[in-house]
Amino acid sequence: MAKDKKGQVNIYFIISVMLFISLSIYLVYLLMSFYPSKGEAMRINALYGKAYTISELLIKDEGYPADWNEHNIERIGLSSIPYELNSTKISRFKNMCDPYNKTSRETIYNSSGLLDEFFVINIAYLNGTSIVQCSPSGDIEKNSEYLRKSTSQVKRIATLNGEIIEVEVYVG
Amino acid sequence: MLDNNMGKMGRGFIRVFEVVLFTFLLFGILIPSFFRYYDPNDWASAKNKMAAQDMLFTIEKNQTFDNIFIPDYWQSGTNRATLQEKNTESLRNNTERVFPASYDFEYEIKNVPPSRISIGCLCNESDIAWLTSKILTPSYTTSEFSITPVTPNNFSDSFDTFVIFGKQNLEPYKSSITSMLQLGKGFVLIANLSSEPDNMTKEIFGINYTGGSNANVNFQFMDMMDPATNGLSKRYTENLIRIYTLEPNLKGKLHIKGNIYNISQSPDNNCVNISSCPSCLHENQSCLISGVANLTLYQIDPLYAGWIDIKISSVSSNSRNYTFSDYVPRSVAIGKSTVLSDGTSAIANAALGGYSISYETEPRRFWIYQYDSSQDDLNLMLKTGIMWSSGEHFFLFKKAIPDKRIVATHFYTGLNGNNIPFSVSLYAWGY
Repeated sequence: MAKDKKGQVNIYFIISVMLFISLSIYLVYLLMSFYPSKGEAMRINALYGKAYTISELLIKDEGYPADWNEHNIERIGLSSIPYELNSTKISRFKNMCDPYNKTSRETIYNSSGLLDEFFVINIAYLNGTSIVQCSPSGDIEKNSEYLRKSTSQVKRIATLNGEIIEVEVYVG
Repeated sequence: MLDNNMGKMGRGFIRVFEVVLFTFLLFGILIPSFFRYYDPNDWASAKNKMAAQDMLFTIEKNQTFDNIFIPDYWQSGTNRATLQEKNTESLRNNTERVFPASYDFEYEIKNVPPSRISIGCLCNESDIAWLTSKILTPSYTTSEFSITPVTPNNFSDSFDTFVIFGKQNLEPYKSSITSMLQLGKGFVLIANLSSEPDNMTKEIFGINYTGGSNANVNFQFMDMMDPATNGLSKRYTENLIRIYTLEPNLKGKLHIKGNIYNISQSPDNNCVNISSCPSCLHENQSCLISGVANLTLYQIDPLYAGWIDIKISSVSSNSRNYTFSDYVPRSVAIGKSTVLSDGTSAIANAALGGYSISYETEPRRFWIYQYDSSQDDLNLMLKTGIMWSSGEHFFLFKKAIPDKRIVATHFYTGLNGNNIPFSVSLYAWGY
């Protein structure tokens, strides 16, 4: 009788194994959820890096050539000296910002070192009054949801004619 | 017999089931402790730190702190304290907009005297009256002084600094004085040391008593490389001698180096005549009195009629190397704390360090002999010593800063080009 039982598996053992397997699966799932997608994280970090680089150029660099205009600009830069933005350069930048003009769009992308990323620059006073809202990638209103969810945003503080302003760069 | 064996076997499996269940439950509970996810690219924190750093650079460009600490009140015609408050409020509003709405912040200032200095005075009513009228007048960055009589038994941490008049035995009050020093509170002693002081007095003010006679001497700042001497001499040339010109003729007197100079305002020309100066001085104009001093008219006070403010500096190439002249006791040897000396003895000491392990709460102590109180240049030295002893370290909004916060620090070259460097740390915290 005892020998007959040797090849059989007890019901408690089966339950235990099933429980073990199901809890293991749940545990692995739980652990996976602790970590963000590495690929997505790398992408976001790269975008933040680009946004930060552009923001540095905008508030600390005078651009190249120093007295650039939309025809000769090689590198974007809006300041006269670091943290002091130049109103003439801001005006020129504003004029260049036409998403439906292919030449302007390419000029901005080339001068800021971007390829084909979604890209928005907002310059405004701290009370919210807008100075420049530039979206070379397309209509900013249409992309507002995309802006909110998918982009890396870097906000910098600088001064323009004695007033404190904020420069926001979105790259997505 | 067989059923018994089966029963034992079943009990064994139930134990396995229980152990598996228990292990998983335990493991599930401990998961958060085992796996603490940390993102090395914490952009939320980095962005706030970047905003703080940008803000400090930006307010340097905007000269925000110049407007807060040395407001242009004679131009705007507004009370200085009101203008300081208004400019501080503007900084608060701007900083609020820089950080997320759920963030709070605080500015920590080092090496600038606060706008208001609170003084506990171990002295009598006449000393307080003299201090109030001649010494504690609005000056470089500090617009308001409050002075309260104290006894050594009731020193309180509500004061920034303590002023002690005359030679006193401080030894019995060692513990209360030490507790104040450990909190970074300053001490100023105005006393002639004609006999040996107690050990506590010697220790606090770095006094090396030798005894000696009085003499008429010239004396000046010694060792400008010393941090205390350097700091005091720079502040001396930035502080203001406040002179009242009596109405209706608007005439007053300036006492420096034992000389008396007549002063008269010329309201029609908006200038001030000083005897020995070749022309009527307008604001920010200087006059060099050969061998004595370089005088600069800082302002004719637009708010308080009759008052004028003068800056004083040396006639030598180094404007901070001012030479004083007086009848002084020569009873203290030159030591590492000596700031004013005639070359053989110490005339004033400024002691730093000790008592506190933190630079932030390092107490500053200043001793000067009981000089001729009619001398405006020496009164300015005492004023400078009192302001310096206040610690020059304060928080702008007086908020409690939590341990978990971000901080950015920026060094500024000075206020209104005075070349007295100071640092500002901007703390921010929230979620």
